[in-house]
Amino acid sequence: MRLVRGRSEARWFPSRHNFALFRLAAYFRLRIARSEPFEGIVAIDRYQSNTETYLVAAWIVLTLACYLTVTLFASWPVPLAFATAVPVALAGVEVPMIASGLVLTLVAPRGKDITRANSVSVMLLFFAAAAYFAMRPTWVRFAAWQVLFLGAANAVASAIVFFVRDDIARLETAIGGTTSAH
Amino acid sequence: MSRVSAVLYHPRVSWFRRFLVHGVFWRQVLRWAVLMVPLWLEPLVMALWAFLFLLWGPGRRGVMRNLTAVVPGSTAVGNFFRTYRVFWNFAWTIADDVRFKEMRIGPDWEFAGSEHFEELQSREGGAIILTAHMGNYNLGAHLFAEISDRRIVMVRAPETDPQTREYEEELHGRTAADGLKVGFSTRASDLAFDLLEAVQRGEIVAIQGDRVTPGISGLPASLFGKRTQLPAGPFALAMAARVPIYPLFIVRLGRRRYRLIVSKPFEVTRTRDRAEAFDRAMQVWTRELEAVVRQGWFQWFTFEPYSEELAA
Repeated sequence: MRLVRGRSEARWFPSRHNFALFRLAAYFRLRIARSEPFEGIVAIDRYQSNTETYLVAAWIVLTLACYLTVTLFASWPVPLAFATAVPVALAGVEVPMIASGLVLTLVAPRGKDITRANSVSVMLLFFAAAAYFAMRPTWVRFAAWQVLFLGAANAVASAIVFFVRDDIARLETAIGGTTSAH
Repeated sequence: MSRVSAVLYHPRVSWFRRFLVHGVFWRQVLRWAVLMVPLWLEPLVMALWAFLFLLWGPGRRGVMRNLTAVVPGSTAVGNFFRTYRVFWNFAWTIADDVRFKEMRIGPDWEFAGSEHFEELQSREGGAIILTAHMGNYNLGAHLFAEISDRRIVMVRAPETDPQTREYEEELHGRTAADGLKVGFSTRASDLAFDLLEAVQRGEIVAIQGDRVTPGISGLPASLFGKRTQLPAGPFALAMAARVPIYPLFIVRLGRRRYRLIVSKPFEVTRTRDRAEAFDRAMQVWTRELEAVVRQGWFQWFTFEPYSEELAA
């Protein structure tokens, strides 16, 4: 693992972000970041961004809650149904995650890190659900469309990040960092 | 062995033991989850597990009772929700610990009192780090081994369950950093000579000083206005080896963010009256401990009432 000591702007390394949209935003932020006094160590890992992690988690729960509102709680008043659907979505999202994780655990070598494979698997299920609900004639199609829209925007951002990858590498290298001994 | 233990460790029912609170099953589930959960779903998993921890009655009640002393004027309802926050932080820290061990992915660190930390690293001769069950003790020791050339000996209470102990020892053996050694404080006398030798060799010994486990000798202390016992070992070791004690705390600031707080060192000077020397040192320690725990009550992982006055 790479560590950067005493450089606060290293928090904006695109390589500390996972999704292309966040990587791109971090790239722009890094370009204008100033070095401030900082006593600490910044770890470089693609899942290190708190903002990204919490935003994506909240986005998934709220979108799933919309789907549940029009299915499980279809006969309820929408505000009440949505309020009930949020905690159900919070717990329910674990079902496909664990099911997919179990299958991947069975096929992967013992003790292997399968977080990336499971991420792809769960995200594909999420987009499949969006594709299904996008065709429904109710308001839920807007919730599904925003998922598809953000997916497309992420793909575009991914292409931009690819084109600026050399500049990203130059910026990150200029700030520095050392590889952990352990 | 108590009657309950005799039943639990009977071969016919021992398979069941793994599912108890301290059983190995939960460690295995945690490891599997760390290697499986998509990282952007992690907050949701933590929220659910923190809620499940609330179902653990003795732990929940222990935290709630401690909070009545740590947060003066707090109500039972308020402390119930505060306990959720304690479990939320606990879930994150144990996951961070396993992630570091299995995947070598660590958090961001901030330092407070870095002048004392630099002094600790650069001083010749041994020293004692006195810390608490806060934030992430294990990660802190690994960080120290990572950024320092000094060898650190970490003392911790052993797991009560034999299978869990075996599992943790195997995991530690497989994943420990070069400069880090773990000693288990099964009995006060077992480790004492090893630790004294280590400190005299110039090594740094890290001990948790906020909880007395069975078999460990304690000293009387007052914490948040309640009488309690805190471990005598670190103070006796400091006095015998004539080395300073550095209060050090690993405080969780947020997801994958920790702060290392190092306070001014103090010594346990040898005098004719040992009890008085210990008492003085204990007062310094409890002052430091209270200040940090009062600010970070949501990550003081003490799941049993720390004082008999609270247990009553």
